[in-house]
Amino acid sequence: MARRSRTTRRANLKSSRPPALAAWLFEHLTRREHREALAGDLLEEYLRRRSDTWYWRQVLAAVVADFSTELRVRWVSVVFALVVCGTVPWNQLFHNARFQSFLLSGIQLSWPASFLAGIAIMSAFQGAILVVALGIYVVSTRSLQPRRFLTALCPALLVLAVGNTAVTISEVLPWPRILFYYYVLWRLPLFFGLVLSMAWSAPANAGRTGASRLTT
Amino acid sequence: MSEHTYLGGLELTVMLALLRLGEDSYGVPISKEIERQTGREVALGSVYAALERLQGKGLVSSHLGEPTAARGGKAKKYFRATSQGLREARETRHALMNLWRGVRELQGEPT
Repeated sequence: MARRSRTTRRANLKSSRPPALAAWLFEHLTRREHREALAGDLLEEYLRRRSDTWYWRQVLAAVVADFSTELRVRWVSVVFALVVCGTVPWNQLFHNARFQSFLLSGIQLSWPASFLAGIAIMSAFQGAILVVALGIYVVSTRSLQPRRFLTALCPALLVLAVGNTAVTISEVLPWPRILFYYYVLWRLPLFFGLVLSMAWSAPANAGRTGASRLTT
Repeated sequence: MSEHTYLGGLELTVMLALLRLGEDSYGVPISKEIERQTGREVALGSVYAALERLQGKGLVSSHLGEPTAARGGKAKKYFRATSQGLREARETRHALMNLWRGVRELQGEPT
């Protein structure tokens, strides 16, 4: 009897809480502007009659909607990141004898050291570009705050490391190399890292207009 | 050149739902009203994104209510159309009616 009531209580408790991972994603990937109100609305509806699937769908839709709003508001950052990624002379770099010997010295190590060394070298190189580009951005937008600058670098460098790992793995996968495959693929980690770091380093009102100010 | 920023797509839908509900309203009833009238479910996140854009244009105003335990201690955000919002909705209706009128392919269809 006691066990049954415990089980029922646990089931009730479980059904009154939305999926933990979805709630975490919602908390971390949506903007502060309307997060509290939207979280309350989602919980209200979830408790009333909805399912976990419904909650997940709503969270993903909220993240996508917020991301597109961010892009619209921060279009200057996106254009700047595109310009930076587009103008880095990757071809000259990859054919540069010094860089190649440096890269080869890492690749010639035994596995998995060679794998890690390749990713580390590419991430370090892109990280250097990112630091310079971010510096130019914060100085030109007059939003230089050393602490924010350093805080912004951490997630950006993580994005570079994860992105370069994904790109390196994708190199050995047997999918077709469509037009501009290499041209686009190797630039993606830097692009996303740069966009993210600019969003983190800019103060709450930089690059925003009117009541559509976003919080990061 | 007109200074009006005609409402389109989801913004217009959300604005009309807000006007239909009359009093101050928040995300859930707005979303339900849209679903009831159009038969399409619109994600709450998309409703809020549209409301934020409308607020940015000065067509909608908002204020926070009291936090309630039923909502996990989260406050409701109430929205209301401003007089400028009402004017823009009228202008949009007028513009759409002008476009609608005289389209032979659509004549005789139920409105």
